[in-house]
Amino acid sequence: MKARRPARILVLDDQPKTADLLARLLPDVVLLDVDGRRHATSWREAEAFFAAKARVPDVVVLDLRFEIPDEDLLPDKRPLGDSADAKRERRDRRDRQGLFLLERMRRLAPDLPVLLTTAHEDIPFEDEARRLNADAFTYTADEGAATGEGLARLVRRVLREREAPLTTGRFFWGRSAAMRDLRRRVAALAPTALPLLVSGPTGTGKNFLVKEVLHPLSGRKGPFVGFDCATVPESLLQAALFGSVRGAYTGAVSDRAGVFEAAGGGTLFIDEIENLSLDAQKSLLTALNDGVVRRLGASQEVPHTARVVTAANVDLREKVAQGSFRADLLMRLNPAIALRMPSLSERTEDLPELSSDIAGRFFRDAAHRARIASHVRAAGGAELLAEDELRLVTGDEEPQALKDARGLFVLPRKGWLAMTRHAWPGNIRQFEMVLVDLLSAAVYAGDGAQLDKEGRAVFALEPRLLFDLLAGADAGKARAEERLSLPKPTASTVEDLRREIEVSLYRQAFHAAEGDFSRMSEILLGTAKEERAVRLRFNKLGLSAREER
Amino acid sequence: MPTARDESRKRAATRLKHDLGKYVRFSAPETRETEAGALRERLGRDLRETRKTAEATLDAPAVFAVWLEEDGALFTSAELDAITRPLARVEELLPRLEALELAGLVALDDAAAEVATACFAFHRLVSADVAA
Repeated sequence: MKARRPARILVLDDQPKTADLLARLLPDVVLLDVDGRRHATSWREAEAFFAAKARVPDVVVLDLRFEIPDEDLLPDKRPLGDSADAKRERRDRRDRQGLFLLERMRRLAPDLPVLLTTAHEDIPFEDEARRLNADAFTYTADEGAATGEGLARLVRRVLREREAPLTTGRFFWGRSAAMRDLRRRVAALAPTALPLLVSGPTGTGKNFLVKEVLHPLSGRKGPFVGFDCATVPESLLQAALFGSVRGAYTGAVSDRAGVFEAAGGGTLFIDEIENLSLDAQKSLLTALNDGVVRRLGASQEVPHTARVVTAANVDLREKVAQGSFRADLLMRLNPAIALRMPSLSERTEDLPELSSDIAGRFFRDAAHRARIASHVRAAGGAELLAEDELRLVTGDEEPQALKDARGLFVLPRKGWLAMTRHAWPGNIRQFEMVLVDLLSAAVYAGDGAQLDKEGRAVFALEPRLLFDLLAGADAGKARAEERLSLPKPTASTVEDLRREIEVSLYRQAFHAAEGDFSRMSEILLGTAKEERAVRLRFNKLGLSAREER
Repeated sequence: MPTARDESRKRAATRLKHDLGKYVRFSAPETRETEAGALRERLGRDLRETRKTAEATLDAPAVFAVWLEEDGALFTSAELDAITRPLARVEELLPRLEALELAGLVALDDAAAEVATACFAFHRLVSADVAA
C-alpha cells in the first residue's frame, strides 16, 4: 500500500514561536521551509507556495498581527513615511495584516484550511474571518487555555478532517471550507436535544443531512420520521402532525397517531416548514415548548419524545416580517445555530469528488453494470468482473490513478470546464441529474465502447448533449436575467442617477429571483456567495422585501 | 457612540493581549512541568524570548515597555496595575532564572500566568467600555 505523505503546514507569522512550538508538538508533520526558516513572514515569502498545485500546503497557520516593514505590508506594500497619519495607517495595516494575507490566499486557494490565530474577540472581526472562510481560532477568554497547545490540537483536528470520509450514506460532504464548517457544527449539535433548523436552497441535500447524519449521530433509539409540509393539504396538516381522534373531521373513522408520536424517541424532520399554517405553527410551538401534543379533537395532551429538526427553503425571518411565520416559533427553532447548507456554486472545489461519487453509484447499479459489461464484450474486452473499477475521467486525474481501471467514461475537457463554471441553481440534485443523464446516454444510447491500447474500455461522453442539458438547466436563469433593464432616468444629479439605477436593478432582480437573495446575488453578481452583501445593500437602499412582494 | 480615543484604547489593549498575553505562556503545557529543568527551559523560551523584532529579541518586561511607550499614554497606571504587579515579580525573578530552585521557578510561572490573565482581563474590560 502506498504510504501517505506527511502533512505539510505553512506557518505565516512574523514571530518564529508558533513554528517552533508546532515543530515540537507535532513532530510528524512537515513545516514548510522558507529560506532556512520554518515560517514565512510576508506574502512575498508565502506566495510561491500557492502558485503551483504541487506546492500548496495542507494547512496554513496564520497570525493576525505582523510587525513587518512597509515594503512587505499588504494591501499595496507602499512606503508610508513618518507623518502621524502614516504611523496610524502602518499600525492599522500591521494589526490587520493576517486578514489581508488571507484575502490574497483565498484568491489562489479558496478552500484551503487556514487557522487564523488571534487575540481578537470582536464580532466584526469574526464576520470578516468567516467571510474569508478562515477556520478561525480565537484565543479564548479562559486564560488557562490560551497556550500553544490549543493551537496544536486544532491543527491536529483539521488534519484529521482531511481523512474524514467524503460521504455519510447518501450525504456528500466534500472537503470545501463551507462543508468543513458544517461538519464541525453538526458534530457539536447532533447529540444535543435542541430543536434545529436546517436552511439552504433547494437541492443542497438538507433531507440527507438530517436522515443520514444528524439522526444517526444523535444516539436516539427511536425512528427517523420525515414530514414534508408542502405535500400535505393545509386542512390536514394538524391531523398529520399531531394525530386525530375518531370523528375529529369528516373521514376520521378511527383514532390516528401523528408524526410526532410516530417519531417518539427518535427524530422528526419537518421539511419546508414555511408551508405550515399559522394554526399548525401555534401547535408546533406548544409541542416544542411544553413537550406535549394534542390529537385533533382530543381533550387530553400527551407527552412526546421526538427531537424536532426543521428545514426551510426560504428565509424565515422574511416570513416573520411578512406576518406569515410566527416570530416566537422561529426563535424556538434556534436560528442562531441554524445549519446552513451552502449552494453548489459556493463549493466548486467539491465538484471533482462529487462527480466521482455520483458516477461511482451509477457504475455500481446492477442494471447499468450489466449493460456496460455487454458493451465491453462487444468491443472485444475481457469479461467485466464485479470488482473491476470503472472511472469517470474529466481531465484532472493523474494518469497513474486510472491505471487499474477497466472502463473509462471520458468527458472532454471543455465539457468539464462548462460543468465547473455552471451556476447550478438546482444545486447537487440538478448536478446529479445532468451527470446521470450524460452517463445513461453513453451506456444506453451511445456508440458503445472502444478498447484503448491498455485494453481498457473507453466510453465517450457526448459534449453536445451536455451543453443541451446545461442550456436547459440555464433556461430559467436566462429568463430572469433578461428581465433586467435600465430605467429611463429621472434624476437631476449624478449621485441621484446612480442611486436610481441601483434601486431599479435591485428591485428587478428581487422580482426575477422571487425574493430569494441568494438567486438575486447570482443574477446581479454571478455568484450566490454575495447573498449577505446583496441583502444588506437592498436594505440600505431603503427597499423592503415586504413591500416589494 | 465610541470615540476615536475609545477605539485607540481597544486596539492598544488588543495589541497587548497579542504581544504579551498570548506569548508569555505560549509554550505552557496543560499541566505544569514537575521537573525543574523542563520548567526552566520553557520559562526561558516564553519569558526571555517573548517577541523578536528586526533589531532584537525582547523579554516579557521589554515587550511591555515597548507597548507602554507606544500606547501607555491612553491608560492610567491604576488601569494597568493588575499587569504591572505580577510583571514586576517576573522582572525580579527572570535574571536569576538559571539559579532558581523549583519553588522559585513555580513562583515565576505563576507570575507569568498572572500577567497573561491580567492582559486578557484588561482587553475584556477595555472592549466592554467601547461596546457600552
